[in-house]
Amino acid sequence: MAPTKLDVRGEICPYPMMRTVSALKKLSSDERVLEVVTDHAPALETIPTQAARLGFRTDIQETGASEWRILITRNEAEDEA
Amino acid sequence: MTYDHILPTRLVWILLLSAASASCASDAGEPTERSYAKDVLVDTEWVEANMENSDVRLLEVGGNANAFAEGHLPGASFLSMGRLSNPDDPVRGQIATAAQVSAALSSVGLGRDQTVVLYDRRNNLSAARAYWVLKYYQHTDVRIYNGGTPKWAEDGRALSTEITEYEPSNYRAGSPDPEIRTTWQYVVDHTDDPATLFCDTRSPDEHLGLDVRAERGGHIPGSINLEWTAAVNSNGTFKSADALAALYGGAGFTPDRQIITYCQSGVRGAHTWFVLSELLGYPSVRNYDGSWGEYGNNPESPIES
Repeated sequence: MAPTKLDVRGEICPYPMMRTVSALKKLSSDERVLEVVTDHAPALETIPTQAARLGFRTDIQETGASEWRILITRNEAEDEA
Repeated sequence: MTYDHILPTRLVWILLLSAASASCASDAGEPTERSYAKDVLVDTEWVEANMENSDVRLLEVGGNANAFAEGHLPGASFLSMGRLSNPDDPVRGQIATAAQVSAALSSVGLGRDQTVVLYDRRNNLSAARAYWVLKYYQHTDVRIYNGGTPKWAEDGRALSTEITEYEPSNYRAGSPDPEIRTTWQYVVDHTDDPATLFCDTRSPDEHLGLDVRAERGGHIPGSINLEWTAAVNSNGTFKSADALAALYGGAGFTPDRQIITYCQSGVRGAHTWFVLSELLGYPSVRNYDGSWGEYGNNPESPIES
């Protein structure tokens, strides 16, 4: 299944994190990955922190000048639970 | 964790409710006596009246280029908020350098002598941060269109999809104004200063250390939690001067003290800085740009939770 995408470019703190948390909570049980695109550097700290609290791990890729893709994947333990 | 903070936090919420009542009274149409301290907010009629004024430039900040292309205020230019932060600073999201700001504002053809009207798409948050950046680099005449695109639509005006091109300029940012921005060292040096009060503009959970977004959670010792959203009406505009004065004064933020605002990355802090410094006219207000993203990650920071 292709990851669900969330584009929060242009959004600044706290909205990138808030919208990501909302999207993670709406993922169905068979959706494992949320892909977030952001250009707000502080979100590179707040999104992983909040994702971890919800049982997800994150992988950050820089895709351009001051733009990043954050792949947020449901932890295996969460899958088994 | 200690729970000594609970009482003051509850107190602030009681004060918030009181201020909200005052705001409702204002919304209901009762006349307000107080006006904003500085003439920095403009309304729909002002924007319309200045559409053809070459001394005035409209800048949309916040949102993104796609949203801008789908509809914006006529004649406006789009400036990404990312252009106003410094990607090379080890603390994420810090204010851009003078050279970076100069390049960003040159790219939209802005002149130092022009009136800049900033607007955004939600709660004046990006506009207030951009305002703070421009004032830091001493652009003389900066305004905010109060309420941004939602207010424009609420007032029955149409958004434009026409892109207005402006020739790039040679904008040169002024020297930084150290009186409106502060640093980790300055913050630590003033945590015991009775003449200084810290305004934590984050959510109550962030303040209490229940929502942790750095190595450690909590707040700067002695700070009072008054979330930035308390200053905003339901339609995204700033509350009246009377309501704001009751809200912040009631929470203990008085103009006889130096007030340092902070949040996670200096954005929400800039919004409250704008309220205190520009709308209420408090003489000494600084935004701690590093905010919790820096403070909570520094093991030497004194913290309460």
